Amino acid sequence: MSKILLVEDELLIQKSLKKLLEKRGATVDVESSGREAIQRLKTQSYDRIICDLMLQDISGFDVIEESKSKLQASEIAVKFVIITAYCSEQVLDKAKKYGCQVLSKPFDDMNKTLDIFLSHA
Amino acid sequence: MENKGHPRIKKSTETLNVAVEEELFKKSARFLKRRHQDISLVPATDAEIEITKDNGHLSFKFQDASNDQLLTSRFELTDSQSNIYSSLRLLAEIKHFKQSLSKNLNTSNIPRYEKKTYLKAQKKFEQVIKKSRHTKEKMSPLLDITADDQEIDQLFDESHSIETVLFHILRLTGFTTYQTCQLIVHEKGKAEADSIHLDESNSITHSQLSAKKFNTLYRLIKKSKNKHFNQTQILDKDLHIVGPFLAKEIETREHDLLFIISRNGFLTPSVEEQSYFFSIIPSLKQVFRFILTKSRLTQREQLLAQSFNFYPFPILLTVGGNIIFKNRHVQDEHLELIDSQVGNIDFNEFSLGADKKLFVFPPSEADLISDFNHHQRISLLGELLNTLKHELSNPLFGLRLTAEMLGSETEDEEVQDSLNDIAQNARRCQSIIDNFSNLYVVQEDLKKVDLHFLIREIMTLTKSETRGISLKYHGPEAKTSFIKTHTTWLTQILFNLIVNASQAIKSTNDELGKYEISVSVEASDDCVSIKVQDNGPGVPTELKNEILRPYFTTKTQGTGLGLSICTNLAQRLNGRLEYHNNNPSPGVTFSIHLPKSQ
Repeated sequence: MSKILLVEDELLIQKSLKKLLEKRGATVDVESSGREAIQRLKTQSYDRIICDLMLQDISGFDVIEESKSKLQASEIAVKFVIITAYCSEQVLDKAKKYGCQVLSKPFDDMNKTLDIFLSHA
Repeated sequence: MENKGHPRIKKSTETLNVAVEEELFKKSARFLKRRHQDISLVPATDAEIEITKDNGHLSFKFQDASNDQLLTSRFELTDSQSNIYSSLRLLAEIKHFKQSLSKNLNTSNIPRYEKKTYLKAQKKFEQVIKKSRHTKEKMSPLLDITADDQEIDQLFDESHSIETVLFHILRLTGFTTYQTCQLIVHEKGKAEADSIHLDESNSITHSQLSAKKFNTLYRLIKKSKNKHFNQTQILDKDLHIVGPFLAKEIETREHDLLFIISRNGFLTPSVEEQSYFFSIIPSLKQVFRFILTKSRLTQREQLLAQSFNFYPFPILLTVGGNIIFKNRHVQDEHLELIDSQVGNIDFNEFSLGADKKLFVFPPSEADLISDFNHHQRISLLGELLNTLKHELSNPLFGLRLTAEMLGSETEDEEVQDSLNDIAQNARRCQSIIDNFSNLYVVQEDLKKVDLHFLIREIMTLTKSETRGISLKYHGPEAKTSFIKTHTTWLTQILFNLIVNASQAIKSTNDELGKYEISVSVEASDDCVSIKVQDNGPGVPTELKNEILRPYFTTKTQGTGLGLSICTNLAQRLNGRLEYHNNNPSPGVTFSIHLPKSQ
C-alpha cells in the first residue's frame, strides 16, 4: 500500500485528489503549507510526495531543498512529483536538476495522472 | 555723375552706337528685373559699367570698387547679337551679386547659394567672352530684326504656364506665318522628358519621351549652327512637326529644353525669320525658366504643405511675420503664443533664411499620454490576463476535479448529470481563460496559428461589445487555415475593427437587430485576406482621407488611434489595411491582406 504526502493549498484540489488516490487504495496525508510539509517529512517517510509548486508560503522546490538532509538525491528524484498550473521552461529545467517529474495542472486525463502518482518503485 | 541711376556711358569719339548701348542696357535691365523682381535696377554707385566703342569693337568694362576687380568684355560689332546681349546681362547680374555681397559682408552671413550663383555668373561671363572671341558666328548684324520689346514684355506678363507661352509665341509679329510650336522639357536627372505641343488648331498635346531619345534630339539640334532643319534631318515621331522648322536647344540650371517652331508648310524659314528666332531665344529662355522654376517651387510647396498636413502636431511657416502656411492642428491659442513672444518653451522656432520662420509645436501632454496610455493598456491587459489565468485556473480545476470525483461516486443519474454539467462548465471556463491569455502573449517571433480558431476567439472577446448585433463568420471551405503571423497584433487589429464596426452601428441609435457584422476569410496561394464587413452607416465621403490618420476621431471619448494603430500593425505584419464603403448596400468593409508566410 502506497503512502503518499499531498502538498496542495487549493482545498478543492487537495480534497478531491486525496479521495481519488484513496479510492485506488493509497494512504494519503495532506498538507496545505510548504513549511508544515517540511516538518512532516522530518518525522515520517513516504513512498510518494506530490507537491504543488506555488504554495502560499514557499515553493515546491524549497520543500525538496529542505528534505535533502533526510533524503538522498536518488530518493528525491523518485519520490517527488511537482504539480503546477504554471509550467514554464525554467520550472522544467529546475525539476530536471532534481530529476523529478512535473505534471501540469489541469490534468487532462485523470486516470493516467493517478497512474503516475501511484507508480513508484 | 550726370545720369544717376543709370550706368555712366562714356561716349566714344564715334557717336554711332550710344543708342545701341543704351538699348542693350535697358534690355539687360529688364532681364534682371524679371529675374529679381524684388530689386530695383539702379546700378550700384560703387560699381560702374563702362561701354566704349572703338575700331569696330564694342567693349564693356566693369569696375568693382569693392575689390578693385576689373571685368572687361570686347566684341566685334558683327558678333552674334545674342552673345553681346547675354554678356551684358551677365555683367548686370554679376553687378547685382557684387552689390548684395558687399551689402552682406558686414553681416558675415552671405547665403551659400547666393555666393554660388555669383561665382557661376562670373564663370559664365568669362565663357561668353571667350566664346565670342573664338567663334566666327556671324548671324546677323547688330540690331537687325528683333522682337518688339512690348511684345516680349507682354509675353512675360501674360504667361502663367508653358501652354500660354506657346500661344503667345505664335502671336508674335515675327511668327505670324507659323502655325505650330513644341517645347520639350527635360528636368535634369529625370528618366523622361515632357513634350508640350501646340498645333494649328490651337490645341495642346502633352506627351512623354525617354531621356535617351531627348538627348539624341538635343545633340542633333545643338550641333546645328543655323538651327534650321527639315524632316530629312530629324524624322521623328516625337516631333509633331511637318515640313522645315526652326529649333533651338536651351539650357537652364535645372532643365534642358528644346524649342521647335514650324509653319507646317514647305516654305523654308527666311533669313529674317531666322534672325527673329534668334533674337527672341534669350527672352524665351527667361520666360521658360521663370515658369518652370515657379512650377517646381509650387510643386515643392505642395509637397511641403502635404507633409505639414501629415505632421500630427501644430506647425506653421511665416515669411516676414505673415503666415504662409499652417496645418490643420494650428489653433488660435498657438497663434497667440507666437504673437506673445514669451512662451518660447511652448514651441520651437526655426529660422529658415532671411525672414522665413518655422514654428513647430511639440506634442501636447494629452497627445503623448493618449499614446502612452494605449500601450500601457495593452501591456496591462496582457498582465491582467496572465494573472487571471493563474488565479482562476486552480479553483476551476478543483471544481472540475471535485465534480468528476463526486460524479463517479454517486449512483443517482440526476445528480451525476448535474455534476457532469459542473465539470463541463469548469472545463469551458478554463479553455476561455487559456485562449484569452494566448491572445496577449509577449511574442517576438511569428507563430503558426489557425485562423479559424483565432477569429472565433476574437469574436468571443468582442461578444459584450457587439451584444444585440448579429456577428457572423464565414471562413473558407478548408477546415483549418494556418497562417504564420503575430497573434497579438492580428488579434488587436481584428478586435479593433469589430469594436469599431459595432460602435459605428450603435451611433445610429437604431434598433440593433437589423445590423450585422460579418467576418470572412479568403485565401489564395500566398495571401490571406480577412474582411470585416458591416451594414452600418459607413464612412462619410468627406472623411474618406481622414479616418486612418492618427488622432482623428469622430467619437467623443476616442483617442483617434485605433485605426492608425491597425494600419501600423498591418504594415508590421508585412500586410496592409484597406477599406471601402459598400456599394450599393450600406456600411463599410475593412480588409487586411496578409502574406501566408513571412
